[in-house]
Amino acid sequence: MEYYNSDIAKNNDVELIWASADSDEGSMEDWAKKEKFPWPTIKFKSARKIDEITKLAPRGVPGYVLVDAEGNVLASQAGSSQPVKDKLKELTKS
Amino acid sequence: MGQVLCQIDGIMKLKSIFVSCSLALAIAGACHARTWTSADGKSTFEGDFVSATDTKVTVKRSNKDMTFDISRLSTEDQSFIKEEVEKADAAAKAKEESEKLKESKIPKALAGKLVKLDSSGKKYEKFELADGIVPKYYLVYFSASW
Repeated sequence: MEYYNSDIAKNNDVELIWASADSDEGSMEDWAKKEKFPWPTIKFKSARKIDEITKLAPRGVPGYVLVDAEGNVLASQAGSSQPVKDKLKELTKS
Repeated sequence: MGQVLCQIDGIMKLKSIFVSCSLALAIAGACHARTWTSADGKSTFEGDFVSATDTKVTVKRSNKDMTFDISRLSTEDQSFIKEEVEKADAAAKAKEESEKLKESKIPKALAGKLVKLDSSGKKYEKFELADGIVPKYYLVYFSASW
């Protein structure tokens, strides 16, 4: 959350998209509301139906995947967000 | 317009507000009337920056557009005009890039399928990437509550 607020929310070049792996909508929403997730979220009913997104899922959660607008994978890692953060920093430094 | 800039009520709205402000700046240049000073520093007047070319500036004063040589203004005003033109150019470029990005695979795939918690954090509302500046990159976060 801290990383989102400091590095993504104000950066027009990138957005974080949350794809929940929860098995029911209630669990997904309860968690999001409890933590006050500030990022755009894929609707529960669509989460597993968007091929462009589902094919990106790494083996294991949490998983982090950085893609460009055409869906080309630039960095991907399950368990740690660091490789994705490093790549993003490299891409958006100015 | 000043109210728009002053009513930022949370980081969740920053991006869309940025777009509104960029457009507003491109159109009007500033939120409040500026005090302009003549090159010799002897006279001033209030007005809103509208637009500029390399040598001319247009300022709205009492709802009337006035166009005159930039050289008639103080160095500070000339610098201000240069900055405003650069801002407007950057906003126009960002808008153009954003329009192109809307047609890319990821933004198209996500159209109509995103939600975001409202400012209270209690209710989901529709969210469209296309309503703001469409990003070049997407950090897809796969996770679950368990």
